[in-house]
Amino acid sequence: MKKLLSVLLVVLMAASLVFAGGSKESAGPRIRVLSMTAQISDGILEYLDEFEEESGIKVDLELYGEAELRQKEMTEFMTGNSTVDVYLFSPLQDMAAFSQNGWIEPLDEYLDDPELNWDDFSSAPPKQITIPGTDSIGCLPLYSSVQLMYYRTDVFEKYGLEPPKDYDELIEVCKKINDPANNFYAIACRGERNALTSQYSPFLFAFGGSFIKDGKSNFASEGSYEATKFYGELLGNYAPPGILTAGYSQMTQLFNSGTVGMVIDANALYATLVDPAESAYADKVGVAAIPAGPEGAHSYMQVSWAVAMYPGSKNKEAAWEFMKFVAGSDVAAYITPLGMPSFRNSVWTDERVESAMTPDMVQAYADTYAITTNNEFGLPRMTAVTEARDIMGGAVVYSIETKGQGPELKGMMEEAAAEVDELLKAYDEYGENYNW
Amino acid sequence: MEAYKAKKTIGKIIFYIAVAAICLVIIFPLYFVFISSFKNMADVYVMPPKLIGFKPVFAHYEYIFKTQNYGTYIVNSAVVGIFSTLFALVLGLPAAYAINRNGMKNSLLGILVARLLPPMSFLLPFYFIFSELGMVDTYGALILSHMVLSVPLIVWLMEGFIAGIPRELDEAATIDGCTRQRCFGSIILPMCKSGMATSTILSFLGSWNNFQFALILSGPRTRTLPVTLQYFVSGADIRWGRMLAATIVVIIPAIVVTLLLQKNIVSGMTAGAVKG
Amino acid sequence: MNDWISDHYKWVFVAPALIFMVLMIVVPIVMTLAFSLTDWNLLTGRAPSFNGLANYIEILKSPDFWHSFGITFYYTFLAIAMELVAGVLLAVLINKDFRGKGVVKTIILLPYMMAPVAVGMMWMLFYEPTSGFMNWLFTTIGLPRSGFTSARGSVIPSLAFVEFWQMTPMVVIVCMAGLAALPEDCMEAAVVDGATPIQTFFRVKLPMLLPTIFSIGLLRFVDVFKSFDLIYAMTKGGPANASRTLNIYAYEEAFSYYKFGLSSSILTVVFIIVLAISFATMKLKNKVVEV
Repeated sequence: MKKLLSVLLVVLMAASLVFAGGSKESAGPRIRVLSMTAQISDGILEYLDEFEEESGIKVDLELYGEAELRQKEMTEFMTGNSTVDVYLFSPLQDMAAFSQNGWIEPLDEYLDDPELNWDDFSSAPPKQITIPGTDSIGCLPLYSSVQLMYYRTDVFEKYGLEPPKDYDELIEVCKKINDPANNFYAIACRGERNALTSQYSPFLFAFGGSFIKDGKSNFASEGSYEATKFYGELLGNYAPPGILTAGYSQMTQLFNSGTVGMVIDANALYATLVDPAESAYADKVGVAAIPAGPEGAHSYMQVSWAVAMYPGSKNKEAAWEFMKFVAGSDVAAYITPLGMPSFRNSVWTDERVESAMTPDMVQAYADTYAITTNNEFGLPRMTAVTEARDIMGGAVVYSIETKGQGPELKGMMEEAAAEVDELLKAYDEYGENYNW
Repeated sequence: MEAYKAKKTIGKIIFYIAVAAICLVIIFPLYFVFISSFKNMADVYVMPPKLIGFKPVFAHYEYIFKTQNYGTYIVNSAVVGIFSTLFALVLGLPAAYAINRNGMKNSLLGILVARLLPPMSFLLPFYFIFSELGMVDTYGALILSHMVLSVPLIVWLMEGFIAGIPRELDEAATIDGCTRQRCFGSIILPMCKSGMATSTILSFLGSWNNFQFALILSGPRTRTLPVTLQYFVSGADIRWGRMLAATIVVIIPAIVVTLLLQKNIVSGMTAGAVKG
Repeated sequence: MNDWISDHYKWVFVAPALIFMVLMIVVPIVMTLAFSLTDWNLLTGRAPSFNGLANYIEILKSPDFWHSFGITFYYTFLAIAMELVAGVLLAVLINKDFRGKGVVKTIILLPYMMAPVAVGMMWMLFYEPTSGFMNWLFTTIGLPRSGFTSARGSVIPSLAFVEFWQMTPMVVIVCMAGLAALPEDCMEAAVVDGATPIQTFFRVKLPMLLPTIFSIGLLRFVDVFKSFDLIYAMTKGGPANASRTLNIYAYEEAFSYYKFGLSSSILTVVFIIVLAISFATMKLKNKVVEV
C-alpha cells in the first residue's frame, strides 16, 4: 500500500508540473500568426528576425500544411475563442464563408498607410480580395497563380519540336513523343476530381465553354462538352495510367521522375521542377505560356494566398505591421523567383528577382499576363464552390476514363449542370439572383 | 532418433526462413524510405532501386533540422505520451480488475464509448472547452485528450487479460485476510505483466502518433512530432525528400522509447513480483 | 480505511475511470447530437437553427451516403480479416523461445510505431503507378501493372493493405500476451498426445485464444471503421469518390462544404453503427466464450 501511495504522490507532483500553464515574458506586443508552410513561410522566416528587431513585435508563427491550416483556422474561429491575430488563407476558397461569419477584418482604413504602397498592387484582381456584398478590401494578396506549360527541353530537342502554340500542335507533339512501351508519356494534367477543376478551366474557356452563364450552369453547353471531350482525349490517350488521382504533387513527381514530357499546371510547381535535389531533369525544364484553343488562351489569374486580420485580435496595430511585412517587397522578392509571383508591380524591376529568374520564365509570365480572359477565377463563381467542383469534376473524370469517347458524357454533364443549378437555387443565387 | 533430429532441424530451418521472410516484408518499405531520405528524389524513382552503395545526400536532413525544432518536439511527444499512458494506467488498471471480477458490462461499455465516437466529434468541443479553460497549447490539454483514447484501450485489453486469471486466487487471498487492493497489487498485476506491457506500449504509441488532437490542441510550445510531418505537404508542393527524412527522424525516438519501455516495464514488474 | 476500500472496491476502482470518461465525452456527444439537429452551414452566415431530423432524412436519401456506407464496410472487412488471420498466425509462429526473438518482436512492431500520415505518404510513393516500386515489383515477377490507389477498382484493397501492413503488429502483440497467459499444461498435453502442430493450433490454441481475438478484433473494428488519417493522407477519398468512407464524407461535408450540421448527423450515424456492432459483438463474445 505504501508503495502504491508513493507512486500516486509522484504522479500528482508530475501532474501539477505538467498542467501548469506557460509563463509570460517580454514587454513588447506579441501576436499569433497562422501560416502555410512552403516558399511563402520560407520567405517570412528569412526576414522575420529583422522584422522583430525593427518593430519590437514578437511573432508566434505557427506553420501548417494547407489542409491542416484550414481545419485549424475553422475550428478555432467557430468556437469564437481564437487568439489568432493574423492568418493566411486562400480567398478564392474561403473568402465567402469566412467573411459571412465575421472572421475577416475590413482593411479599408489601413490601406492608406504609405509604407504599404497599395498602388503597387494594381495588378491584383479586385473582385477576389473584396469582401462579398461590400466594397471593402478583406485581405492583402500575396501571390498569384497562373497556368503555365512546362516541357522537357531535351525531349523536344531530340524530336526537333517547339513548344505548341495551339491545341492542334499540342496533339501533334503528344503523338510524337508519347512512348508508353518505354514507360514515357507525353503529358500530365490534373485528373483528381476536386483538384482538376482550376487546371481544367483554361481548356473549358478555350472552347468557348464556361462554368456559369447568366446565373445558370453552363456546363451542359456545346463548348463545355467539346472541352471536356478534348481534356478526356488528351489525358486518356497521352497521360500516364495513374492520372485519375493526380493532384499537384503527382504532377511534379511525374515530371521529376522523367515519366512525362509536358505538364500543364500552376506556376507554383516551378520551384520543385528546377530543384536539383528533387529532380534529375532540373536543368532540362522549359517554360512557356499555355497553348491556345479555338477560342484563345485562357489562363486563370488567381489570388492564390492572401493575408488577413482576425477581427478578434487584441493587437490590431501590431497585426497590421506584420501584414505589411508579409506583403512587403522583401518577401515578394524572395517568393517571386520560386514560382509564386507577387502582385507588386515593383517586384519585376527588383534586381533580386531579375538576377534569379530565367528569361523564358519571365517571358512566359509576360505572355500570360497579356491575356485577357473572363476565366480570372478558374473556378465556378458561387457560394457552394467546392461542392460544384466535385460534381463537375466527376464528369471530367469519366471523360478521362473513357478517353473522351464515353457515350454517357453528354448525359453526365447535363446531370451535373442540373445539380449545379440546384446548388445555385439552394443559396438563392440562381438566374436573376446571381450576384457574383 | 537420427530421423527425428533431421526432421527437427528442417523444421527449424523452415521456421527461420518464414520469420526472415516476414521481417523482410515489414522492413523493406522502411529501409526503402531510410535510404531514399539520403538520395535526391530523382534517384528514388530509378527502378530497380539502388539499395546500397550510393553517395548519400544530407541536404534533406539539413533543411528539416534548420526549420524544425526536433529536440522540443521529441520532448513534447514524450511528455504527452508517457504521462497520458501513466495516468491512463492508474485509472484503467483498477477499473479493468473490478469490471472483470464483478461482471460490470455497462460500466465497461460506458468507458469504451469514447473509443467508438469518431475523433472528429471531439475537435470542436475540445477546442471550445480547453480554450475556455485557457489550456490550449499546454501539456494538460494534450494529455487529457489522449487519455480519452488510451483509458478505453487499457481497460478493454486488461479486462480480457485479467479474465484469464482464475478467480480462486482472489478468493484464497481474501480468505487469508488480504484486502482487495493488496490482492490486486501483489497478486493480479504481477500475473498479467505481459498484458500490461502490451497495453502500455499500445497506449504510448497511440499517443505518440496521434495527429488530430495534437493539431487542434497544440501550439508552438507543445507541438508534437506527427504535426510536424505535415510541414512538408503544402498547397504548392510535396517535398518528398524532406518528408522522408522527417519520417525517419520521427520514428527513431519512437523505437528508442518503445525499447526502453519494454525493457523497464518487464524488468520493473519482475522485480516487484519477487519483492512483493 | 483499508477495509472500507476493500469492501467497496468495486466502485472505488471503477469510479475514477468511469467519471473521467463520462466528463470527457459528455460535451462532445451532446454537442454533436445538438449540431446534427440544426441547419448549421457557415456559408449562410446565419446562426444555426433547429431543423429536426431533416439532416438525417437528407443523408439517408442520398446515394452518396449509401455509397460511402458500402465502401466503409468493404474496407473494414478486408483490413480486419487480413489483420486477424495474419496477426494470430504470426503470434503463434513466434510464440516460442528462439534466438533473436527480441529483435523479431521489435521489427514486427516497427510499422505500428509510425504515424499513419507518414505511412500513407510512404505507400503513395510505392503505389505511384508509373515510377513507383510496387509496379516495378509486379512487372518484374510477371504480374500485370495495377493502378493501385489511382483506379476505382483497386483503391480500397490497396488502402486496406496499408492499414493491414501498419496495424497487424497490434494484433500480434496482443495475441502474444494472450498466449503467454495460457496455461502451459494444455499445450504440453497436446504435444504428448502426438497431435501435429496444425491440430494443436486448431484444437487447443485457437479456442483458448478466442477471447483475446474477440477483444482485439473489436478494438480493431472500432478503429478501422473510423480510419481517417491514413485514407486522407493517401487519396482524400478519391479517385472521384471511390474511397470516400463515412468518416471522410463527414469531414468533407464539414471542412470543404462548410455544412457542420449535416456533417454532425453523419458522425452520429457512424457512432450509432459502431455502437450497435460493438454491442452485438460483445453479446456474441459472451455466448461463444461461455460455451
